[in-house]
Amino acid sequence: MMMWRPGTIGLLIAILAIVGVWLLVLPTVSNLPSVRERIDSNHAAGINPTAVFYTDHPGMADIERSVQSRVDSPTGWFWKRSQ
Amino acid sequence: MSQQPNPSDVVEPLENGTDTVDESSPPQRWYRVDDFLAMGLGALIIMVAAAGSLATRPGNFTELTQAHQIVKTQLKQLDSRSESFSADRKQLLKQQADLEGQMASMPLKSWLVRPGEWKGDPRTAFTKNDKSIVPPLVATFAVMLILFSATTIVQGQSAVKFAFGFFGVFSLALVSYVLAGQEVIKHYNLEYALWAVLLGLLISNTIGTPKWMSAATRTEFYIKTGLVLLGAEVLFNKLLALGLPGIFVSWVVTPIVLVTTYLFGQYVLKIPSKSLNLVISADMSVCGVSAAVATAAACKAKKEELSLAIGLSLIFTVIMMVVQPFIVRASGMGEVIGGAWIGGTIDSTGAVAAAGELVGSTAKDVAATVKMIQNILIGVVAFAVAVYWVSFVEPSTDGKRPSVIEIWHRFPKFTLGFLGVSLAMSFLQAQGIEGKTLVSSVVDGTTKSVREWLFCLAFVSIGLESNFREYRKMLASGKPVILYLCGQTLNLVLSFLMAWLMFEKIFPNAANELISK
Repeated sequence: MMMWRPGTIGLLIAILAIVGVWLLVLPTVSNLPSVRERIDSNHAAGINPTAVFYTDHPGMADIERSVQSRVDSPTGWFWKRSQ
Repeated sequence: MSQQPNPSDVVEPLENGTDTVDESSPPQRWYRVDDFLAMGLGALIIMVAAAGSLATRPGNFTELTQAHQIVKTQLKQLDSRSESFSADRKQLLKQQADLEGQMASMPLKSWLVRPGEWKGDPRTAFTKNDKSIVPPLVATFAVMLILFSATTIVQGQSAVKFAFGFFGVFSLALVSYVLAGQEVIKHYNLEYALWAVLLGLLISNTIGTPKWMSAATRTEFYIKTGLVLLGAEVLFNKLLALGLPGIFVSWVVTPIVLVTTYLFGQYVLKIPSKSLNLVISADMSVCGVSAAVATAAACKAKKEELSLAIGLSLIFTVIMMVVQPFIVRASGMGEVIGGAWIGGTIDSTGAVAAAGELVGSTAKDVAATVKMIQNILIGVVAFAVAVYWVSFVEPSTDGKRPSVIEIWHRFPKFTLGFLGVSLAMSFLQAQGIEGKTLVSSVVDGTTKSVREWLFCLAFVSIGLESNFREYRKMLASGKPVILYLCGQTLNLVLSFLMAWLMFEKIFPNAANELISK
């Protein structure tokens, strides 16, 4: 008779649960209008919400260029303290 | 019965003490110590990336540099006028980005990959632009296997055993990336770190970590090497990206919150573990996962403490990235102040950008820039924590304040590599467009991908070496959650006050300038 290592059943159940959630539940959730809207909006803006560091964010270089040109604007408005 | 020893029997610190002197065994040669090996490996990867970039620079680099200068001048001329030229400005910024892209050669980028985003079919995670990424994934595995097997040999261990184990750990890291790549999971910021730890925990707490895999669960080494590489991304030149307001929101509020939260944890909550207190305080106040990893390595925190802090950070980030944009819009605080508030408080960069976007484009730009400036702080925080830890927290053998020599022996030396790489790359970045594109090609083309893999391997290793019981023990009192909540509340209040003070009272034109064009 085949000997099961203790915990094997638990591991198999967990793997089945993961497969079920990731292949059935989450794809269904991603079609919910509010979730879809959020995902599409992030895609359109080039946002990777799981970026751990600023360099992981794909749109960061464009943001930097855009902000930097305003901060370094020759008018010096950014740094002026009065309105 | 499980063949493996219960991983919870011995809870090892993140720092395994390989650089301390064990009197019962012959002194370890310096080049076998994890810290020095991590620095050497990090430096090697950076040098290879830089050499590859320089060797494959486009032939018309000089012409591209001149064209870049012309576009930059045109952009300045446009910005000096009082009228708004939004479309022209966007066009010039796009030209500038295209030119920088052409100048930054990245020969290794397409060979260092990870699975991408998918919706219902996980196989699509293994394609990019309709091309399979399986061959580059195999190349990524091979490169990392060769590098780490070599260090195993240097340390006098079996490279064959390591290779078998590395296959297992790498496979789990790959599955973590696939789980994190499902679009709902990804867009609600449940990062790979969480799945990597959970997958490891699942195995170690069911069938036990297989012996053949244990040879490659080198948490400390992966983290230290990853942090040395992260140094290449910590560029001090970016400090003034948002002028003085950015410095005040990121570099004044953050240390105040960090120190206050730590003291609150020590003297009010009386959290038994100083390292747990410090890692939670840092990941909540600075920048989430990356700050937690850097601080945990600097203060030699336990593996479970690091993963608990990251778990807390990820859970609260999911909540904050939904709630904060709503508050900004409902309160009418405006895109600039709201963006700065979001950037200063939400832990991870991606979540900051996503939350900012829900408010508006300017809010996203301000939020991401504030977070970027805050990211740079982790170099200083890691170094300061390491000095504080070895000087004031670790007990001295004779109960007195440790001598300079003792401090040096205990000091986590990889932090010097981290800071050294950061300073060197910051210097390079300051050398005009040539230096900037070289840094960009090294980071975006090589070190970033390797660093991401190393952190993922480290998180898998943490899971494989941990036990659920440890987490239950740490969470039983509820103090880590209270610490996070109290610290984040202070962070929310102070960041808002500073953003309001800077953009409303002291530099009102800064906010107008950011919105106007």
